[in-house]
Amino acid sequence: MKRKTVVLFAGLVVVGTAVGLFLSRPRPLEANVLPQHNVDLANGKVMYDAGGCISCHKPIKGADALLPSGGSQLKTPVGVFYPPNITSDKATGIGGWSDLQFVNAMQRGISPDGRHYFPAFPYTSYAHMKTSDVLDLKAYLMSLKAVETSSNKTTSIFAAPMLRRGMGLWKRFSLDTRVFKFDRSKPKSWNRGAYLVSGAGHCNECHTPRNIVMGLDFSRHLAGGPHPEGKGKVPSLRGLKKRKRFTDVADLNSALRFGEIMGYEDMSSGGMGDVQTNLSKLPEADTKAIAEFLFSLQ
Amino acid sequence: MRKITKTTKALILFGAAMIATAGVVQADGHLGKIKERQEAMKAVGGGIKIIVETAKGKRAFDAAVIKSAALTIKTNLEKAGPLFPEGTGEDSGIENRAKPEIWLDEEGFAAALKTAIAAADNMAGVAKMADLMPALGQLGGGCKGCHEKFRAPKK
Repeated sequence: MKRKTVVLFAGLVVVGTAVGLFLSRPRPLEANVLPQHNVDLANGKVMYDAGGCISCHKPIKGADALLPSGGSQLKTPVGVFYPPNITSDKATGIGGWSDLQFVNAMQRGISPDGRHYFPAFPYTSYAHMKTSDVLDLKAYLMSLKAVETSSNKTTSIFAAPMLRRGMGLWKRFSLDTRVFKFDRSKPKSWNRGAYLVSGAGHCNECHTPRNIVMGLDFSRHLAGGPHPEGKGKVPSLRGLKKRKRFTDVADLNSALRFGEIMGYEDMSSGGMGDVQTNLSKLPEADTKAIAEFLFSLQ
Repeated sequence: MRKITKTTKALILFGAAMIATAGVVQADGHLGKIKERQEAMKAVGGGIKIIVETAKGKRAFDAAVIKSAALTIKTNLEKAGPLFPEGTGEDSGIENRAKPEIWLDEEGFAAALKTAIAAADNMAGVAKMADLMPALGQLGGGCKGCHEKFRAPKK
């Protein structure tokens, strides 16, 4: 009897592990998703600034501050991450990556060696980008100077390899891979704003609250929530007019472009200062489009 | 013997009262300092508002008005600087947005404040509209430089 129980239990563990491994396996995109595409470097730079890549892939002290050679700490309540070098260096950056490897990293959260990334890297948002924009971003990164780095630390979090595999299960609930859908009933500029906000800009990662499995809760789209670093709140971006946060689209555009330089004092704290600095580098039509979209949220 | 006991008791009571009072005074002092610096920063905000309105063309350029606003900013920044004693941060139990980084990186905080004060000083010397925007870039950058690192998001 006892022996039977042990066998049954062992069997359950084996089956459970097998099912878990099966369900959590990385499911990368295949090469046929890559479009025929002529690279547009200027568009790549827009994606780079909209995404604010430099803010997380910030170089360590002493390195060229304008190049995303990574290694600085990204502190989260679950532990510290060290966003990697994304310059074109072949050995320590992403210079050796194929287009497909880059697209899989950005849009499926899978590394070139086939492991899941933790969603501290917001591929959950980048999944909504057009693949052509992702390819332009890669071309832009490749056009920057290569920086060789020495550290290959990735994270301090506990039991990282096991949790990493577990991300495969998490992705089944929380990784929505649908590319942004154009809303024909709305102006082109509104759609452009909505696209930048949901894709490259990854605004939802902080401004949309999360559900109990830590996926984004789109029933409360951009309604604000607890700050991901643990203290304080991220403001809601809904009802900006009603709540008298901004008078009109031009006012919000000015806030995005100039931030505290034009006296918008709440554009600096909680990490928004870096975001605003990056947004200020976008073409004005794009910040205006973002403002138009956000201002329309009731 | 009895008398000594009484005196001792009195002393203990007195001591306890002193400690309690000190605690209250300390907390009161902290509250006072937080309120004082918030008032100072409000005055800074008032000055910024005048300059920003001028930059946006909502208010006619007047060098004297700009100078007075800039000096209000400068004086109040100088006043606020020493109003950040340790123990008055966001975790002090008194609601405010001063991050612990202020005391973890005292040099950085002092430097950021100094940059802002210098920018206010520079603003005070602006004599024509063409020089306003560059000076405002520097001044607003000063506010941002400090708030990015040392001011917590709203609760």
